Amino acid sequence: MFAKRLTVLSGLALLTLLPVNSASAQNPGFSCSAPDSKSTVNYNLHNPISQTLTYIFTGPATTVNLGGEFFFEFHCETKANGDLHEHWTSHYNLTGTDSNGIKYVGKDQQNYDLKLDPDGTFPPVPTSDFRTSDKFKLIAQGPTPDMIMTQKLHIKVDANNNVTVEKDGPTVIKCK
Amino acid sequence: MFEGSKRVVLKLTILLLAFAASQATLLGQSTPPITYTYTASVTNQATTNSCSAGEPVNLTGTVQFSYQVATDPATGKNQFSITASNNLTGVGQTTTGNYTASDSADYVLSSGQPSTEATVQLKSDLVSQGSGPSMTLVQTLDITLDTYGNISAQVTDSSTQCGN
Repeated sequence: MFAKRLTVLSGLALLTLLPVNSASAQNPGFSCSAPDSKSTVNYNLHNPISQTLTYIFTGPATTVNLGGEFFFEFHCETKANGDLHEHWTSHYNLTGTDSNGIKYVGKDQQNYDLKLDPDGTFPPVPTSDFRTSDKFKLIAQGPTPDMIMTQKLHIKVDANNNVTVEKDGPTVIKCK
Repeated sequence: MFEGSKRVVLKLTILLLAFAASQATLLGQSTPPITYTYTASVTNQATTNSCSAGEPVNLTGTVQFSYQVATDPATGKNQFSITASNNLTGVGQTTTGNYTASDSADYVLSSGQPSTEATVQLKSDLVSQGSGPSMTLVQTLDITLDTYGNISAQVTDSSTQCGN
């Protein structure tokens, strides 16, 4: 269903199931550390991007071939009151060239901090389910107007430390 | 006789429609979630500038939070849908030029708990009306809300970047 949805959307990126290390004694997975201390384990998810997008601002439609990656970085933190929080950063490192030879560079990031949700077991295992609205720039190398891309993502972390990132709706392109 | 039958059919149709409407309301099928609104004021909030060509800007205006609480049909968890919209004017601290910003972003948080917390970023164009360059404004928003529609939300940081 997800794949079907992607085929009809003029999107920027395809984000598929992105597993992270499973929890184990040697590898703390997505578990948090002691209260009031920050987890020292950072998790990185790299997702290469190669996609074409078409936009119409003025005049005929223009196509941009984009390459690069979405890169997600996250870690868990236990607050002094015992609450578990997830810090999430979406990084966008993209370059592209449009059908007129204009080059674009997109290097941006967006941060979130979310309270994790216990999964209902005891001891509770943190889970997370949220949708972001990431906004990032594609800066034209020259007098051509820049673009603002807004991409909604659906991010889920389950009790087994599997992280799923899905594109949630079409990429919205705004001309500047 | 024929006219009388038509009147009866019409009355029955109206009764049926009224019954169907009342049943739909009772079952909650046509009742959309309540949309709550909270407006946070911003008064002379200084931005931290990280753009070499830019300048610090003092912002005044509002950040409005529109939000709904529903049940995620897939998981049965509470689903908090939030739209944050800003409407700001600013004064550059170096050039005294004016700036404007108006944009919005959506966030959806699912939780099995009756309340949730998040810190999110709202990015918008800070458009120069004077001699200074336009920039990107990044506002950090701290949001706590519950299933009763109570919210606590504030702008805890504002910074500017190059690249508008």
